Amino acid sequence: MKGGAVAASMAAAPALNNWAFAKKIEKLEKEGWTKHPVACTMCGAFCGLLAMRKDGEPLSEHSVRIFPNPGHPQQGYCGRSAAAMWVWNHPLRLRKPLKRVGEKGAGQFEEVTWDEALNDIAARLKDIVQKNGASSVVSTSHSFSGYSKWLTFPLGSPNNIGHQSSCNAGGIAGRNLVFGKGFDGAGKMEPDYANLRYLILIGRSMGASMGALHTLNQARANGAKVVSIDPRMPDIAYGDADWVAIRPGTDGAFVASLINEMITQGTADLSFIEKHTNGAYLIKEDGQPLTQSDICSNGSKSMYVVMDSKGNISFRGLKKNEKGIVVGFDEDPAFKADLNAGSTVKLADGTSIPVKSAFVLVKEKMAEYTPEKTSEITGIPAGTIRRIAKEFADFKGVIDDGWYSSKNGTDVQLYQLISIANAINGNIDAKGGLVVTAGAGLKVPSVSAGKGPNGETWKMAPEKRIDKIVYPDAAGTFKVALEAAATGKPYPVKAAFFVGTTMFHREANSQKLADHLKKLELCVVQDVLPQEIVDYADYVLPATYFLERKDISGVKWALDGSIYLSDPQLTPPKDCDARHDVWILLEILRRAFPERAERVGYKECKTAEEFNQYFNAFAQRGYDKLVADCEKAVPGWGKQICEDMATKGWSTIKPKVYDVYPYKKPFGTPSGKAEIYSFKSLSNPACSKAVSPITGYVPAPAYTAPKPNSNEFVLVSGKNCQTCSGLNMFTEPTRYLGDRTVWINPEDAARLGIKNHEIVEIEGIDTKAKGRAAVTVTKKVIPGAVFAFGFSGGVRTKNLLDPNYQFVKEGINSHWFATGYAQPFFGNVANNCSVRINKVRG
Amino acid sequence: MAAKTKQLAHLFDATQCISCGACILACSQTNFPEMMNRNIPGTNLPASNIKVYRSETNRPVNLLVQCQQCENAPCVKTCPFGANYYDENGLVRNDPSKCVGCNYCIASCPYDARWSHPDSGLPVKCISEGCMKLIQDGQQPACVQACPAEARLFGDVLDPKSEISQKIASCRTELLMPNKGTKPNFYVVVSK
Amino acid sequence: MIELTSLTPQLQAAHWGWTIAIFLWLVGLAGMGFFLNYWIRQKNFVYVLTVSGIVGTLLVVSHLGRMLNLPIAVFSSLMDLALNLQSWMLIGICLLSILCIASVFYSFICAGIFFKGEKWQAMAQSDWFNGIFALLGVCCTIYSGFLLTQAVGISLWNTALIPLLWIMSGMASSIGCIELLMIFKLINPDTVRWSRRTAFWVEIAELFTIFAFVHVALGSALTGARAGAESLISGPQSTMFWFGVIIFGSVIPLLLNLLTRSHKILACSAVLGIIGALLLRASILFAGYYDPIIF
Ligand SMILES: Nc1nc2c(c(=O)[nH]1)N[C@H]1C(S)=C(S)[C@@H](COP(=O)(O)OP(=O)(O)OC[C@H]3O[C@@H](n4cnc5c(=O)[nH]c(N)nc54)[C@H](O)[C@@H]3O)O[C@H]1N2
Ligand SMILES: Nc1nc2c(c(=O)[nH]1)N[C@H]1C(S)=C(S)[C@@H](COP(=O)(O)OP(=O)(O)OC[C@H]3O[C@@H](n4cnc5c(=O)[nH]c(N)nc54)[C@H](O)[C@@H]3O)O[C@H]1N2
Ligand code: SF4
Ligand code: SF4
Ligand code: SF4
Ligand code: SF4
Ligand code: SF4
Ligand SMILES: [Mo]
Repeated sequence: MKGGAVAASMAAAPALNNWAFAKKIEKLEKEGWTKHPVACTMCGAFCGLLAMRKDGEPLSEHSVRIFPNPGHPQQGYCGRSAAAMWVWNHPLRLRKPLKRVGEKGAGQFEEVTWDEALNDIAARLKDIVQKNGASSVVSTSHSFSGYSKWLTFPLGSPNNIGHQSSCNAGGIAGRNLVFGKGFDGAGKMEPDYANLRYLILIGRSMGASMGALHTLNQARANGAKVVSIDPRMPDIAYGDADWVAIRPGTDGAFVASLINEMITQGTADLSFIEKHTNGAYLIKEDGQPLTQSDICSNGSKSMYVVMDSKGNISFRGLKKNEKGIVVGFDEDPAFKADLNAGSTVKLADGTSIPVKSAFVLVKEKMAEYTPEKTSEITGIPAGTIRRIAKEFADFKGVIDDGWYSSKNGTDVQLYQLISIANAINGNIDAKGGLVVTAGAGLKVPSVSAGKGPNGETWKMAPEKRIDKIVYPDAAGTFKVALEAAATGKPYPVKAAFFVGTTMFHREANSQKLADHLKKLELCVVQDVLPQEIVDYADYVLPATYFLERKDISGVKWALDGSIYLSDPQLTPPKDCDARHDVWILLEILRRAFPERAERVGYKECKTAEEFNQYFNAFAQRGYDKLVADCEKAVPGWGKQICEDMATKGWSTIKPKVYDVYPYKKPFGTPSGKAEIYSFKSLSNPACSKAVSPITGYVPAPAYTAPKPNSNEFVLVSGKNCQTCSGLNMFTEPTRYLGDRTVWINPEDAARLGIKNHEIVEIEGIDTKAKGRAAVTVTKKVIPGAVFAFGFSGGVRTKNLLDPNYQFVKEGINSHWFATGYAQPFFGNVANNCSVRINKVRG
Repeated sequence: MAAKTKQLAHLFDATQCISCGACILACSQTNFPEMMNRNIPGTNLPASNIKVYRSETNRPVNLLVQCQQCENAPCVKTCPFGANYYDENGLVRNDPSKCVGCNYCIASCPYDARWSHPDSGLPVKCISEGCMKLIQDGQQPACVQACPAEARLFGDVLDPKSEISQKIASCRTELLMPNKGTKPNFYVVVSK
Repeated sequence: MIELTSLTPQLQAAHWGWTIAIFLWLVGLAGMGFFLNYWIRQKNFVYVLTVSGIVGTLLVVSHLGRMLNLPIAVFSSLMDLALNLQSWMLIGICLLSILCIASVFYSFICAGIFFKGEKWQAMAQSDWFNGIFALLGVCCTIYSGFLLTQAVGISLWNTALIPLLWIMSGMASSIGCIELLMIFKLINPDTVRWSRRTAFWVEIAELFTIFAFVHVALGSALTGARAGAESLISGPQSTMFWFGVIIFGSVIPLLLNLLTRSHKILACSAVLGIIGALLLRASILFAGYYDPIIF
């Protein structure tokens, strides 16, 4: 077959909403199957699925079938969710509590009863807390930090620290610089996937969240174009998305160049920039914004100064109510500020100083990045950069604000630039742009630091969350806690609880991770499968997974504010003693400190049913309140929500309203505008040291740069649509669908005399670690870089891997070679690294 | 033989597929539940009628291939006892009562679309029994139902009003291995 | 070079392995043996051919994934008039059944079981009788070749040279067999004086056909055929092909045949030739790859 040439022509819109499976579901229902909505966590995307269950038949892989939930705002289903039932009774599933009997790391265990395990853990926890204080106990998770906190917070420890440093912390920090607090978190700002016309994906594979991809497909069916900027070709480019190869870590230059092109070609949205960004705000020579207080003696420090082309000035700031809450802008809407202002202003003390608009500073900074120079840095032809810049402006496109962003140790600057580029294109919160998603407003009573779900309060340990001491703006940099286990600094950590997180596939620098894990006095792992981390655990506790528990929550990542019910009503297979993660944690807490368990109203629950009653009541309370509020607001609405939940498993509460931020309501930045020149960076010396108000390209500080045209490469990783998640890595279909090879470009392979499928040795340039893997010689990776999927093999669990599942050991885990470098102040870790590829002799 | 009035066919949209593998698993679960934690003996393939083919001689391509329901099917021509036959819908079917498991049809299928079931010895292929039931029920086959990327269609290509016919009419499609003279009924959309 | 690892070998899908190789070999031996028997007509030779035909047939039946369904399949197929007369497999099954029954009949005559008496003996020595057997033998051998040529999926096999090759190597192995029987005095050497010269030319012809076969495959437009040929010459099957088929299976017997008349050595050379014919079939079977769908 000839490779399909991409026709840019608009497609005859295929019918997207006549889901074939909807018919099938109806049919099954008629045949006595019942339908149960599920929020999928086969990966971290929480898509909407349906579990169809044949009633009256014993629970098995055959009597439960997984389907997409038709019409769900994040309609799911992919290779991983399809394999959900392959996990349920997986031959390797953890079935009984295990107690370590050998050395730490040796992976020798004996089965113990729940009582033995919980009592012993509780006794050791109590001892540790009495000797070192509550803050020496830490917990972490990926998708279940809402669970892991049920131990640490009621115990009094602030240290429930998430996975963000190796996931989205860079994106959060970058958005924070441009859009501010409240607009930086996961899913808060998203491309309007359904309605966009042109999407640039930078290091975003879309091989993840099927919900988002499904939504995007509506836009693609209407002719939207997708461009992927990535060192390797992601699967979406098999279709009609364009792949533009870029050298790893050089994305900053690419985005800077887009901005430069738009400014120099006059395609930047100047009116948006003038009105809705801080582009017109005057900046002093020291980089600080000029404020009213500089000019008038009693002026406000938070009123900024703009100037028109005639030299008249005006102030812009935020309107606050009596409680100090921001309610709108304080500015003269008729004033037309000059974006290119650059002159002198007279200060209150009579002196004159030169000032420039923020836009001019941005323009000057970006001017370096001509397409030609950028081409040298990035490897993208200058013509392609020009073309993308033009299309981006012509179609009023959007650059995806990313998800997994922990790559090169310069990710904060990159996502700052990406956010700025979207603002320069004036495509913020508009239909088809980068928009603020609507929340559903569901509040489920839960535990937080010092506060219980029923209004209880208590005093927390006096220490600050440990990662925040080292990285003040950390969204969650768990490695600080493990370093503290080894060094005792900034304060000692003795016990760690790992609730549903692989750690070895999550965190960079495996050797350090292993060393630090061994230093823990108490290490507890709650999981479903024998991930490598179990070998370092004192206790491995079998947990239930998403098909075995109930949940009500807000739909994640979606445009509209919706809520979902996840209630598949499965129980673990017969001989599997798995329990709910929160039960495990609360039972440990109760056995150690019964009075602290009571801080969250927890008393002993012997059976799973008892516990579910206790725990599910919180979600029910939140839900009931939401329903009651809605019913009060519009009679009949509450009833509608209940009906939706009962029939579909989801309900949309707040449809997205476009064109609000920052047109009518301010962003969370100091100026309330989209800040193309970050004032936050200037507000704190540590922050300004870590990141400037506007930055261009910074070479990756996280790893030694490989020598060009040698056997040295940057190793990048990512995920795909079929496999690549902690749970899915072990399922049978992964044997075939999983790619456990290292990709290398044919040019590089030829130079090194490496053939397709040959086994090579991979050696970390910085960590010296070594591993072996088969190579795939492919044009799908740029010369000078090699690629390996994350969560795809390289599992080194010693004794719990069945001979039939040795395939999970094949290949490498890129973290063996990564340094674990974290960006100062923000704490986001770099997972990319540099390696040597050596031929294996013999 | 009376003129054919119906020709069911599959369409695979290579411009939409994101290679998630859901169709492969759905096939397996629908048609071979007994094979869930087993692979096809001697291979690393899951028990499914879909295989992934990749190539990058030109632009990298990703193709998911299954039985092409050939109009001129080598597998039908080679079977000694006529166990492979064309049904009234233009599908190539297998009648187990006539099959001795010689695997001649497996070797003769140019698309490598068949495999030998380790329990029954039957040369299975798309459309297998589970999906046959779905079709007889007026539903879509499992892989079509499963696809999250709208990359699959199944229907009657002789009916100009069917969705598949309309898609074929509006897009550029190709047939696989036309040189083998099999007259396949599996359309690959290569550009919209 | 084609990357063989990216193609599916038929062995993985259709499982035509050693059983089928031995079957093809035995059928070739029996088939071409009956052809040569037209000039020999000796009972020990007939016994060997009968056994080889029957064992070959049993092997192929044993290879059926649904052996027990055979009677039902035949019945059901007959009832539905579904028998596929175009199928070489069906033709083969018929030919093999006839060959088996007929050769048992021939052996019984030779051994004087059931069919005793001059009349029968005379018939067994008659030209027409042995002529029928010769024809049947050639047909069986050709069938065993055409069986492969119909496997559209495996383009290495889609060549009419295979039946020819099967004939040549079937000849070679049956001549080897004749020589062995002669050396062990199981047949009368006088009737087979021509065997040495024939063996020589047959080996030459076989080598030539192999060369042509590989050459055609290498030059084929079809990747599967080229891959198969490469697998024979330099790939996974090359050891079996070069040592088993070419050097020990053909060239050495050929040279020995030219250089010596020592019975011991000739016996060895005959055995080598016979094994060579088996390995030829095995290596060609194992070198069968599906054409890639895209490339
Ligand atoms: N299969 C799978 N899907 C998942 C998850 C999972 O565990 N498995 N988890 C979910 C979670 S938690 C997340 S965060 C999302 C993530 O979803 P995405 O943000 O789409 O992330 P990835 O799929 O990891 O893709 C990252 C891409 O970045 C590229 N990359 C690496 N280094 C560089 C670089 O220096 N420059 C550029 N331009 N690109 C680079 C990689 O090649 C890769 O294609 O996926 C969600 N979906
Ligand atoms: N090289 C490389 N590294 C990466 C990435 C990459 O793309 N490449 N991606 C990064 C990203 S974006 C992220 S978010 C992290 C994710 O890193 P992880 O947190 O390690 O990833 P997950 O796949 O979510 O792992 C889920 C774990 O929870 C277990 N589990 C599943 N369900 C349950 C449950 O209900 N209860 C319990 N107790 N356990 C459960 C699974 O068996 C598995 O061990 O990895 C980061 N690291
Ligand atoms: S992307 Fe797939 S695995 Fe991940 S949550 Fe969605 S359906 Fe589940
Ligand atoms: S139609 Fe059915 S049998 Fe055929 S590939 Fe699709 S799921 Fe499998
Ligand atoms: S694709 Fe293969 S199995 Fe299907 S009809 Fe054609 S020859 Fe037969
Ligand atoms: S395996 Fe069955 S269907 Fe296939 S050729 Fe043999 S008898 Fe016919
Ligand atoms: S389900 Fe659809 S998108 Fe996924 S691999 Fe199959 S055809 Fe491609
Ligand atoms: Mo993530």
